[in-house]
Amino acid sequence: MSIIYILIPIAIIFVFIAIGIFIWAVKTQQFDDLERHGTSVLFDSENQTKRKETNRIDE
Amino acid sequence: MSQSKHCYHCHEPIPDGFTLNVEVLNAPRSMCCLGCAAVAESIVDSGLSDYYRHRTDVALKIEGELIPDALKTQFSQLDIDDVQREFCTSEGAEREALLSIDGVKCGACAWLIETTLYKQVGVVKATVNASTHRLLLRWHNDTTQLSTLLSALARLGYQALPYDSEHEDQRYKHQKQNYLIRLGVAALASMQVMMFAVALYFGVVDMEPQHVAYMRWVSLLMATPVIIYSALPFYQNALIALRSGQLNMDVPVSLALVVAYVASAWATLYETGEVYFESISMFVFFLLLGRYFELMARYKANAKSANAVKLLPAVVHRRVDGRLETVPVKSITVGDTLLLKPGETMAVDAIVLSGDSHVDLSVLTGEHLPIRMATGETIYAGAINLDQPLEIQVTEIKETLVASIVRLQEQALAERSASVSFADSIARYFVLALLIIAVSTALFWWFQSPDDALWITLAVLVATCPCALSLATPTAMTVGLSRLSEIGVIARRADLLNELAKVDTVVFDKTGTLTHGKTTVSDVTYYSQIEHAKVIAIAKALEQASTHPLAHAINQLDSEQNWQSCATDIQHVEGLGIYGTIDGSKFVIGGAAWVETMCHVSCDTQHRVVLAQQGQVIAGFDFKDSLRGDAPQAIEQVKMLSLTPVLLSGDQQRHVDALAHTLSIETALGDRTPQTKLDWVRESQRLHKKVLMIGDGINDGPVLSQANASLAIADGTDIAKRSADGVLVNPKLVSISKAIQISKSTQSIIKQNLAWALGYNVLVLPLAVSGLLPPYIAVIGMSSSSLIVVVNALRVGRKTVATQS
Repeated sequence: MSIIYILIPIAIIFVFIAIGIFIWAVKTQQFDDLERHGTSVLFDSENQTKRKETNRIDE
Repeated sequence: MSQSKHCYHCHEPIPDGFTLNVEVLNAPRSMCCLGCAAVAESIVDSGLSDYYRHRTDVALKIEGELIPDALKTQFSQLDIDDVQREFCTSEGAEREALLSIDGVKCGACAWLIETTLYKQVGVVKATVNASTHRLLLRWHNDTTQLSTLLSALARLGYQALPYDSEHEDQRYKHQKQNYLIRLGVAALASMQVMMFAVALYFGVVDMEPQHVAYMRWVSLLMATPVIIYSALPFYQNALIALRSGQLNMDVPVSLALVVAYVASAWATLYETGEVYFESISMFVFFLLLGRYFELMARYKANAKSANAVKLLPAVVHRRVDGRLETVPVKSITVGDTLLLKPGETMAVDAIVLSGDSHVDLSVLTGEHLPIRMATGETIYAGAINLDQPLEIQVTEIKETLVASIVRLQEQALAERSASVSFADSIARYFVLALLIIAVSTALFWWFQSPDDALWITLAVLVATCPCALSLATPTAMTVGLSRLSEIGVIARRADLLNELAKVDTVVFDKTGTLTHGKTTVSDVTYYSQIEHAKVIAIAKALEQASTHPLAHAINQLDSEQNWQSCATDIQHVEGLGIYGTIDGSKFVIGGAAWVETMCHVSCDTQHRVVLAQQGQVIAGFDFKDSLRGDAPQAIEQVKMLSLTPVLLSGDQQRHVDALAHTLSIETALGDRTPQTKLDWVRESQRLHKKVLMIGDGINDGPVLSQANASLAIADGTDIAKRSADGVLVNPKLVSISKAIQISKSTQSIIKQNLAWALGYNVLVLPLAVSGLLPPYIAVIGMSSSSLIVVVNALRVGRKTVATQS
């Protein structure tokens, strides 16, 4: 049973990491629009190429 | 849904005899109108037909022109640098603006908008938020104009305009992030604590004491962030309530949380008694979940209404060197001369230069009686001009504009429905009773069995928490309101949901409500020797400042000759007509009967509007107006709900009868002035009828306020929208019956919720007081009763909305 003295703290560390990642995700607005991004993967990636092009023009 | 009968683009039925196909995704698809076809073609031509493959909701029907002239002018106004400064941030030549878009239905729309914008030259960034209907647009002002981009969107059927309550948005965003983090912390910590709890309860029966103590210490560690951070909003609410000498449901919640935590920590520290860390964490998690859903639903409803209802006008009519030009409010300066037409809302503070009229100041003062405005008096932003056009001089622009917008928003948000506050007051007494019971229970058990006293009291506090009771009405109302906005009905008062459920008579206005209201002159008959072009010029001179649909039609006429009439002493007689002096002689234009009495002539009453001079009829005008596409369907549905449709109009009985016949409405009343319309509604109400009024015009204002419930058509006059309880944002008349169904479903869900919440609390109280209920069971009972209420509320009107497409 003494293994729990090691395993539980490790589990708790994981939980704290998970909380940290969650807070980061919320702060970087990953949950702002759940409706839209559910479908965005279905469309082709023209947006990205266009975005890159405009970036190039900027430079 | 069969392809042949319904439009592929908007799924509206295709009118008989109309055939128009557009090839989409390698097959011909039928369209219901030229507007939809144009949109579909432009989507296919830009290689964006993927939109049709992935969309989850149908598009808005495009009626009439894709970009009406008024919108074009509004777009071009937005290109002016001074105007842009108000809503854009700029970095060199790059501008960034937050726009609100109408017509976004699902993720596919968002993709369509973004892709289209990226195809335009000069667009740097375009991000659409499909939940809140906002578009963040960044573009090169040197290479492209904002109006070009907005027109490109309008061609796809989306209308984007600057969104300017960014402040409100930021606050919500912050609040939402906060709640999400609290929720996440509570969820993850609860999972962990639950694991330890399961181990303590069932896992190892003969666990060694040091292991038990260890488990308790780690549970304490995990529960601490939950109790300190996640539960913070409850303590804050409880403190606010206590400070103002009130009780709300957060008081017993906070009390239970703190007591349970301190007692469990004590038990951990001294290794005696029981710990309830898992109950505490779960309690916080479930409560937060309920609050979060409520916040989301409320915000969504608000965001949509903020997009749709623009409270103060963005443009005014400025007089420069005798000419009248329409300019944005932002480009006028103090000292400018403006013309305020009847039915319009003031955008600024000003002094009356000339004219004699009445205004409605109820927005500022709450007083509904019209106030007379004569030369030299001050008129404030938000006031609505009622009868005569006024020439005004601007005295203040910024301060008043902001002040009244804030005021209106606050009023709309602060307005709470009578039934919501009723449930709130029950909950308040309930909390008081609960605290008294808890204290008596504690005292009783303290003498009976001191060891159990604390835990039994805790169970009482937790199990009987009136959360479900407090949640019952607001959650159902919130969901109901957001369902209404999904079908395009924006409620201005929460009471709309209560009243709609009770109506038995639906009164329709004719022009602008059942018909498009875009009347055009079909024929002019001339009775005098005066040149035809001059006759029309005279008519236009009289009608120039009127907002009546018929006046608008006359103003649209071409007077080929460039002969400018200059009318003086113009007087508007509401609902009847206008008289004025031109070149020294007095002219009257208006309804035939009224003109007859004014000029002592006999008119051919076949004409809707007659122009006459003293003793002589000059011309008669005939008009045509088209029926709204879904009017027959809307009337049919109203009848199916066993409600009585009534047609109440200021138009001639002959026209009203004809329309009533087409729509098979039995009660049709024409020739009504605003006063007789009002009398009719009052009389019906005296006979215990509940009246729902649907209207759009200035003359409908009083009736809209008098009716039990009222809806205004979005493109109607400001005064109609201000008087009504709700606004039909997409002018679909079929939404009316859906709105009634939604409100009925809301009412029945509220009843179910209240019955359940009260029943549960009454049932569980004796169990908790008698000590038969351990705290962890109490937590499960409380949480599930709240969750059942919330989940039940989500059922409101789901069927109605689902059958929409």
